[in-house]
Amino acid sequence: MAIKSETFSRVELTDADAARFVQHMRDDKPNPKAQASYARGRDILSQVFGQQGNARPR
Amino acid sequence: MQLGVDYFIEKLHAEHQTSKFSMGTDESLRPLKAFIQNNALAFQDGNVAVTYAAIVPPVDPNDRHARKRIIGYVTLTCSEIDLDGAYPLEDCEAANRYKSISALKVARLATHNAYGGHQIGKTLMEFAIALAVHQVAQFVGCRFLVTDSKANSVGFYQNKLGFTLLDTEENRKREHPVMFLDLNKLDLNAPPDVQGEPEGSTQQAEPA
Repeated sequence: MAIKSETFSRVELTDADAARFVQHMRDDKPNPKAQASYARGRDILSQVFGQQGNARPR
Repeated sequence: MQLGVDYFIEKLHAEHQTSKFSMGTDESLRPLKAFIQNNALAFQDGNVAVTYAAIVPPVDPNDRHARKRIIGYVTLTCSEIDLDGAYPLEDCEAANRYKSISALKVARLATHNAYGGHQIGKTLMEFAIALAVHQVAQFVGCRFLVTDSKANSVGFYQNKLGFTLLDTEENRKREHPVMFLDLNKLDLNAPPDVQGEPEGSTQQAEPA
């Protein structure tokens, strides 16, 4: 099986799926949507952990 | 027009009220309700997985026994991506002889069905991305955030959050396609006003 993944376990890739994953790692450009998600998450994270884990996320 | 919801994010604890958490009538979502009501705290106490909950205050603030209600949650656990052989990690060639790469897994993501449209799932995921970077990767090393998405949630992860769908025929056919976010492609020093998708959409976050 080329992909094996369960909810609380690791992801196993073989054959074409492993090769494609490596290609993603090597060739994909930074994703602006991921960058924006991270930027918003950073603010949320600082509120959550900065105020004893009890803060409004927005 | 929907009214906003004031909610907070906290690590799950025993005082949170989970009994009223509802996923509606969709049978396929029942495991997400069962997990938060029956298993999430035990998983956490056993150091198997940690859950962060979006919560709202008790309905009656004067009721001393009232509990904070969970309206969404995300559950995270350690994971790895096994590539069945050496991989070319160009930014860390010394690691190339190992067959797997460290990851954090989004095991569960769910929003109470009465709170759809408030981007609670999206906010929980943004929190998870930043947590992976700042609370995991920078302390113990972690290259990816990964999830087994529901097939109808692929668009949510791709378009709202910037996840990548492993682009193979087999993965696209899966009931739960593998999706990932490469933490090493994030610019941790970028100014905080980086813009992505507009915030105007009220699409409900789909469960993982």
